[in-house]
Amino acid sequence: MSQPARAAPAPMKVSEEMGFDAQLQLLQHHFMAGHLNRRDFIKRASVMGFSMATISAALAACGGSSDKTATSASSGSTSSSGGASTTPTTSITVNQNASPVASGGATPTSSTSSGPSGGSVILARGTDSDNLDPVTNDGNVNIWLFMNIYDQLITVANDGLSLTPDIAEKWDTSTDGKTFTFHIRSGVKFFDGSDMTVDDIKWSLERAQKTESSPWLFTLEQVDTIDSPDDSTVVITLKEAWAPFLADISMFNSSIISKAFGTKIGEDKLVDQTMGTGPFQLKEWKKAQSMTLVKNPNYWKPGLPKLDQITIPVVTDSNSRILQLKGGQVDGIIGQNDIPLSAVTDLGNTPNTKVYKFTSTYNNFIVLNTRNAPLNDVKVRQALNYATDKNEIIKSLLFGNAEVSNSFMPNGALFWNPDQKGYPFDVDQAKKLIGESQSPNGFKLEFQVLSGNQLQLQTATALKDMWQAINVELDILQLEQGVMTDNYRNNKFQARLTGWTNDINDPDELVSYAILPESTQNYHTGWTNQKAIDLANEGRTTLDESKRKEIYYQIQQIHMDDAPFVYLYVLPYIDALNTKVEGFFHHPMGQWVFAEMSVKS
Amino acid sequence: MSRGRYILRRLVQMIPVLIGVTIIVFLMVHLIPGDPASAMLGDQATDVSVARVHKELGLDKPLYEQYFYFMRNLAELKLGDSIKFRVPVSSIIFERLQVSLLLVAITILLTIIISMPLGILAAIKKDSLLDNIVRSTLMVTMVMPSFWTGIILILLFSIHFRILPVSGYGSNPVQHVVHLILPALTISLGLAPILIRSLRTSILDTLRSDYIKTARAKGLEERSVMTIHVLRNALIPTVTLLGISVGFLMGGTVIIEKVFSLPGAGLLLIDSVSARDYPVVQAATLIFALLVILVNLATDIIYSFIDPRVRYG
Repeated sequence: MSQPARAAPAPMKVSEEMGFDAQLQLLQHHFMAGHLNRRDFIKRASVMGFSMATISAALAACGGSSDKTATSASSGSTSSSGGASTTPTTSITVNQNASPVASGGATPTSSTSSGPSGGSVILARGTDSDNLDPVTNDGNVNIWLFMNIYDQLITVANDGLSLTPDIAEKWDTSTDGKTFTFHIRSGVKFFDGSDMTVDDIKWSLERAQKTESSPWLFTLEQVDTIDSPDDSTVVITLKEAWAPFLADISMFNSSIISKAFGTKIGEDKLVDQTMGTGPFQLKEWKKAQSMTLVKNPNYWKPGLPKLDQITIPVVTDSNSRILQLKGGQVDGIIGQNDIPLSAVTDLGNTPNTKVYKFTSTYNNFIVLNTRNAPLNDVKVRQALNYATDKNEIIKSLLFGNAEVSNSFMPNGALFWNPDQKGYPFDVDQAKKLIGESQSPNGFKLEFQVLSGNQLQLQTATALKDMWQAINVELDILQLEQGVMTDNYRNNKFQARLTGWTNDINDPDELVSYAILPESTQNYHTGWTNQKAIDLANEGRTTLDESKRKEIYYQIQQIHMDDAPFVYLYVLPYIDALNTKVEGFFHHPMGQWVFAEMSVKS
Repeated sequence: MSRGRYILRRLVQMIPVLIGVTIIVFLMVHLIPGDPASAMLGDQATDVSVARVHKELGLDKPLYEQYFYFMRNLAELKLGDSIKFRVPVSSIIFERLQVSLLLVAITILLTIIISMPLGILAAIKKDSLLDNIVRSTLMVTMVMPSFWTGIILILLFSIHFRILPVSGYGSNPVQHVVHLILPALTISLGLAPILIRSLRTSILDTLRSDYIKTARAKGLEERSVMTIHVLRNALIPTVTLLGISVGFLMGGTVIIEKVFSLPGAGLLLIDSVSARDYPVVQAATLIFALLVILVNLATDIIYSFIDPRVRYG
């Protein structure tokens, strides 16, 4: 994933005020997303106890970047072709690098524009990648990495909400929303020095659209034709107007791969060989051991990337990872869930080490199998929601490192409703609901957790205690990964924990998983609601922003009322780095952004 | 029977044992719940995608047919492709096996360096202060769980003194050895006490035997008595113990590999079971079985060098 060569994304240092920082960060996020105006921001922040100086610095951090983005933002919407509307479906004028900027004192922790070039870093993670083919891979362990190798036509800005130019300098949308014209940047080269042409784009996108083994075909289902009328233009026509299209085309599976390379080595070899236009290139991959990325000297963004080499060893044991960071053997830990939350404070207090929390879309919840009694009763499900003390779980199990979730959509995501009430902790209400339900005297509930996963076990134990108040006796069953996944897929469970991250900035992906039963029977809950299904389909073909927002707000309300999930929390991405490493950014869509990373000698 | 014929016979006997191992492992990995498709596709897998992966991997065929293909490949010395990493199993496994074997080798070396002198000294100076210190201190390291010993050693040598790497394997042969010192020491500290106690006891037993009295009576130097008569006889039970331990270490170093982030074969096996990476699990188990059998054979052969009275039949 490429990163604008502009101001530094300055992540937040974890300090004693970590809980506060997270709150401030959230506020900034909402402010930038337009959910809050300036006055509300100040009001809410002062209620939380932040000083005026901190608040104004935080506001400046949000607003300070808007002028720098103006050029590219307007270039995306000023050109026009033959009566086409010049407004992209998704606004790109929102602050593009409105990264989760904030630290305790709202001073950016690093300014990478001045960071030195050259050098190398070693960043550990707990799990290796298994497939670097953007089209056939399935999983964050791959996506987070190869977004540094491949570019897309357009990409999600650092705020996680808006779209920004990438390989395409600008694009136009026809008024009927069915034809998209992408104007391709000139002078883009692959790592091997060959020119990136419209042929490569056409080949890559058609491959993404047609490769049978791709789990992501649905993102390009609406694409009718992909044409390249001249050397610098790609025109994509859709079968019908499709609101999420621009978000879909920004997804990783639409990465631009060298056609010559792909056909030479054979497409199935793209799982462990790469040739992209991104800032880095895969040099060596020792499976399950380590991966080495080297600088792409032909990268199209001037002055980037800064580092010559990044080595990413796999360190499976969490204690080992932390000891290696402390002992200086690695410069950082960056994998998903790689730092136990109990170690965050300790690492934050370690000299030469900083812990960063980046805004994520990592929403965690409990899925309830609504097929059978007693969970087929909506009152029971609502009671479980009310009986769950989310704040307590965040405080005692997550050490304050998360926000309460009020929806199946992650906090801060596009069209997430910040004003939806969610389910506050209310035992009286829970007791009342269970009393009115078909199981007024409570019941026994099997809760499956992944064996060896401490957080899941602790959460289940806390729930056992909380749900006892409404006479629900939790029977915690620890299962090995393979069995756990198998049970889930075959709907052999009553309740279990799960979570997801957004791959695109449009709500359509999550909505299709949560509302439309075709793919996973709504996360295997078996719950369906015809009104929500109709709305989800309507949302896809509605081009008007405010109408779409209305639709997705309604969907979230229906999902909440029917309660097939117990919403829990949104966890940020937590990474730890040696202080000599600067400019690392963890994108809200999950990928690591290595381009601006530098190292002090 | 000559030593050569004996070895040959033992090698031939291995074949049915190994075939048995393939059957048991094959059945075990295929009969436990969960399958590679679920492991690969995760929580968002759909029926369609699972069916597609099954077809790709040949898992839609009956079990006996799958076993037949596996054995046919094996007969051609082909181990198949890893499901998870999509590369030939041999390309992953032999590299990882080197790490484990080097770890075992350094462990044996360290264990012998620690236990031989201490065992002999403890026996010669029976009930002395030294004897008591050796026996009590090593009792502690023996009962400490190895992951704990490992972490303590890391904190001491890598974080505090910074003289050895925290974990990992390095990138050249010298670094490999340096990286393996702490893990090998960790295992040795658990293994050495057993050997020291065994050595001490058998030396004491041997010292009481008549032929030692005779040797001393005929005026042999004490040094010669110890090396020629005592040690040689006392070593047999210790060698047996070491052989059994080494057999156990083959693939049994998983915890150490995890604590020290060593890319060893034990860890590969565990990861592959979680991923239901059948070809890797089958190949790794087969190789471990082979190694254990070979180590046992080697132990038996070493007997005949230590004690010429040992005959094979």
